[in-house]
Amino acid sequence: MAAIDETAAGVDPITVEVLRSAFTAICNEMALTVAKTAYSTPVNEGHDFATGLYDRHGNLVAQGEFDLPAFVGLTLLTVPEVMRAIGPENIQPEDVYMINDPYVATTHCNDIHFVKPIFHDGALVGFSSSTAHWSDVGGVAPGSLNTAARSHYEEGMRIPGITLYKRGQLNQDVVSLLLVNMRQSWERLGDLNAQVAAIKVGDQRIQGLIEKHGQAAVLATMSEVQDHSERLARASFRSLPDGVYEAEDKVDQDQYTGEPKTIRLKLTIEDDHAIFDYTESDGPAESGINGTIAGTTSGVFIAMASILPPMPMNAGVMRAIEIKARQGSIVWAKPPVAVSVMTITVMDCVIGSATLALGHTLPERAVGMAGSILNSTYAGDDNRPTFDAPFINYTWAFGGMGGTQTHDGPNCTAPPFGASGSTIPSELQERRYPVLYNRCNLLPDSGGPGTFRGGLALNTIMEFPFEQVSGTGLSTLGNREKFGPPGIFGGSPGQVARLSLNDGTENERHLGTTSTNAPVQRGEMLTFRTNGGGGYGDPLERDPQLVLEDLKDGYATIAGVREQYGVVVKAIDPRTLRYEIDADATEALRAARSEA
Amino acid sequence: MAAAGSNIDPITLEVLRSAFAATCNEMALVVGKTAYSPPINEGRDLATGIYDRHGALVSQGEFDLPAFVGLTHLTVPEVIRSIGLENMQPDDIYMINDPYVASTHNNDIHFIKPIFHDGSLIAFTSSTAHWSDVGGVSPGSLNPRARSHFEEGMRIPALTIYKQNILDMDIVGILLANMRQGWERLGDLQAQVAAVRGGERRILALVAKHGNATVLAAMEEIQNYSERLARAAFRALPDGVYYAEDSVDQDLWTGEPKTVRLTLTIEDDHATFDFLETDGAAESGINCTIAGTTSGVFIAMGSILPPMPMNAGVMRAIEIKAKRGSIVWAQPPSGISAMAITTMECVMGSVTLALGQAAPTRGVGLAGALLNITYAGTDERPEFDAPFINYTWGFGGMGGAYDHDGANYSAAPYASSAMNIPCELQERRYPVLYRRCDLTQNSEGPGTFRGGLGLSQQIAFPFQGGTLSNIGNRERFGPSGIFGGGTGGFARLILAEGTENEQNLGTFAVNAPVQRCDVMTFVSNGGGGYGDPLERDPARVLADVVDEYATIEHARAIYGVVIKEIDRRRLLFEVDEAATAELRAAIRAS
Repeated sequence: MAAIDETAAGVDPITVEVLRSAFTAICNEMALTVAKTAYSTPVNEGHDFATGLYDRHGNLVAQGEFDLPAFVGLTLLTVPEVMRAIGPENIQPEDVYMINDPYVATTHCNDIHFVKPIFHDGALVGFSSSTAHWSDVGGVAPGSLNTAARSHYEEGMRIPGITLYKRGQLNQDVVSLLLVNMRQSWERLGDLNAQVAAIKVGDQRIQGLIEKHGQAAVLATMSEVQDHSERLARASFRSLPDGVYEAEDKVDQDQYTGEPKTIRLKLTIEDDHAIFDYTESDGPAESGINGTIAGTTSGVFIAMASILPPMPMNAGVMRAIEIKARQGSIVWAKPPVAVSVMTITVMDCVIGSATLALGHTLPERAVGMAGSILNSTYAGDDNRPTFDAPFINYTWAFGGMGGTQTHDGPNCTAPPFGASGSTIPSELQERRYPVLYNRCNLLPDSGGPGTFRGGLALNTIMEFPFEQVSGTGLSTLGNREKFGPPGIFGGSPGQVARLSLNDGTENERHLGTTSTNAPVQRGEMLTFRTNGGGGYGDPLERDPQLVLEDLKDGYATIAGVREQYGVVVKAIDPRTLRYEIDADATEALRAARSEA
Repeated sequence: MAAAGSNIDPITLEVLRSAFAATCNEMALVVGKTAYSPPINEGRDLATGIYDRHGALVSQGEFDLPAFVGLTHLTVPEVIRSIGLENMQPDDIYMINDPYVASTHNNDIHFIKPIFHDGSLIAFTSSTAHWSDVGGVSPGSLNPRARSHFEEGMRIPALTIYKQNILDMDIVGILLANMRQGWERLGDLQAQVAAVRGGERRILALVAKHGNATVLAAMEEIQNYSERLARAAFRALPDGVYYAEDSVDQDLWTGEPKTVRLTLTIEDDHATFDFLETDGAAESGINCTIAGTTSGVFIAMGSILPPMPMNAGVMRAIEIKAKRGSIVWAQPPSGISAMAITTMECVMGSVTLALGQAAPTRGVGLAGALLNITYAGTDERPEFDAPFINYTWGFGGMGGAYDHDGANYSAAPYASSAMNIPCELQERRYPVLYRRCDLTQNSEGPGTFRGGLGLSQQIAFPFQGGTLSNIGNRERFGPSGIFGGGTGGFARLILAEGTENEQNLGTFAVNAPVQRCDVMTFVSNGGGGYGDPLERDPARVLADVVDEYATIEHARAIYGVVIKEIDRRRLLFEVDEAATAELRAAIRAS
């Protein structure tokens, strides 16, 4: 085997760009393979997945453009961990590795990674990977997301780095062992096959590139792509004012103590380098909200991607930053603490603190925090004659995005960590599962007030109308029922979330974001009220014309705009959308508010 | 391969039969001496087996846990079905714990080794043991609240853990990542693998000495012999239909009892155990598997019928009928981890009572329930500084019999080989302190021959808190008596008894928090009585009073025996015979 030259010296910039785009296209094709063939609804409809290409040292080179951002930090750590576990000397062509161990390489046990080494002429040249959220990996709660868990033993199967295919030979015993401990195993087998197909596609495409451009050019480009991202990251930090910026964000509660958990970040920008120091964050939680180091890394990357100028996210970016955290704290879980619901809680707050701290360094790209995602898993047995099978309906609802220096946040949009996630269509849910959607509308006055306000929250009502359903339970996940998404530069937090049953009836009861297998009866209705996004700048500075537009759009009420923005509006004829601003009264009210 | 059973001489047959049993005993010893889980190495919650080349059970160890007999009978056939005889190779070792096809609960892990001679499969050896933890919600994995096996730890289908002598480290990696205290589990695995390999060496030595054909013929003949003994035993009983039932206290999620109903038909040399009228599945983890139900029938037969080696031959003389999906034949994903002490024990209870009716001189009252206690947490003492799981158990009294009282505080029939885990050992390894351990006065099931007494124990947690999970039964329904004998005393589990913080934990707590300095009191059942208590010899009642097994008031109220205290310090008491005759007559008349 010839010595491998990884310097880009011999590769012209055109070829580098052609190959860089090809790497991304390969990832997109892998993603498409998974999306079109996986069986889990969150994967094939919700796009809760990611793909990656790595150099032969396990460094991340490229990711898919439609991947779930929450996975970026994971994919960075996964292949190095697989190499450590398997041993570089044991890696063989036609092997496929599998891992989901949250403490070393992922967020929670549902996120299953498959990794394939790519060989050319007998030499290891890179890796392809596929990550996807399986609907169930066992454990107490159908769907495996268990807020009440005190350890990972209650959260489903933990899989260390293992060889699923050894030289092309499937270890059938491993498959049986895994599937018998997961619900609806035929679906899981479909997911497994989809992901294995995807990474094989990645292998074939890399082989094609090597045939066309030569091995040296491909390997050199893998290295150059990382150097390029490092240069972009360093240039970004160099353009920011040096300094220390502090920010914090809070998870509503550790459900066993009722106490909030705070993520504290001290961001130091020094020349072309940034240090994200989380060492002052709270200790571990007793419930399933603890963040893993992979999740925390993802959180930092996501915030960087949302605030800094565009750069391809890969291992090169890691060289320009340092993440500091205490092992065993809430941002770096140690086994066996529970982690299954970290994404929506602690990781979201890692993103929140990094978004706020980076925003303070760069006002023109800063943004208020986005709303939390509310997840619900409705599971049981569907006994309707055409179904007659157990079901798990795992779905989610988005909140508003944060306001920025120049525009309001979009309404009801996936937050940065789930930016590629799509809503699972209600029509599809109604067809597959025994549910009926009654309502889906934006909530007026819910955006966090600001010069540019946050986006609006969603109000969704899901009903359980069928008689022939048994053994049902409802599990929920979410955050920000107590603390709304923070605003920035004087903007206010978005409206708090609320998950409840039978709103407006005498059977109304608050379900909250931490219920596990709560029993629900036929005819009950689940209401998701998501968060509004955080505002940007002082609400009293908001242009009254924009406030008027909100009113006409039904985004705000007359009482709401008076309260939130100090704008006094008179209704002339709401039926024809005719309103008028009382300029004098507005000026007087705003002046009084400013003094107060 | 010739295996004609008829031409083996009886001496050689007996030599080989004893050698098979000795081989099983040796395998058990290997596991007992080398496993890491205290329930295995101290409590002997284990079993071993030798099987013929078709997977039929030939021999078991003499000190094995009886609860495993039905399992081991089903385990190897299931492994053969799943792996395929044609795929089996020398130096393979298979592993399985799947309760729905071949086991009781996920904690019971089986290892099976095929034995080859001259390239042909001739037999199997197996080792079964209860691992202290296999994952799931509660440390120790026994979770009576489980609604499905997904809450009870790892379910392992039949798989090849050693393929031609190569350990599948990926499987081991997955197993240990999902079980608490993985290093202990690895020790258990290696102990069991060593045992099945040791068994193989002994079988091959027997083949070298006696010849393959003779050994195979003996394996077949031993089963025929047990079948003949079983058929003879049934032929000796009066033909007829006998009914009995026994109830589990409650399905935790409904609070309702669950009843096991047995119609036993004895017809010539054959018996049918019909459980078809038994209750449906429970929502909590008390459902019994078909392997457990088979064990229950075997155990009760072992306890009532004349001795016979338990193997696949016995199965040919009986038929077990049950409804799939009922509480005696769990279907996935029903919770099952707490079945042994609940539904399986009631299967045994109903069979014991029904067989007892058919064979009065061998009949017996029911024994007390075991109570399993798992105390877990992190031992914060500097010299420990590690998580711990103290899994231990307490026994109750045995039932009274035709001509003698039940033994005090002994393992119930299904666990009769199990031992106490010594409190000294527990105190050394875990942060607990035993304060008290004595027989519970008046706890026996009254009878002409009374049941044995239950135990009262107090365990203190002087160093720190933790969580308590336990599994028991017979808080509501004591062990039944037979032929007019009374029910044994109820079990109880109480925290901080006699203080203002007293709390009835009950026998189904899961992860109940306990604080430093808490004291837990555990009272086990007395055994059920045999025959009318008013027929009990007053001299025996007097002896019970002298022994402090019963109080004077109890002797009067329950047995109608009037005893006068002469000098308690010198143990001098006296039966007032006239008053006794009068009192008994009055009680009978009322």
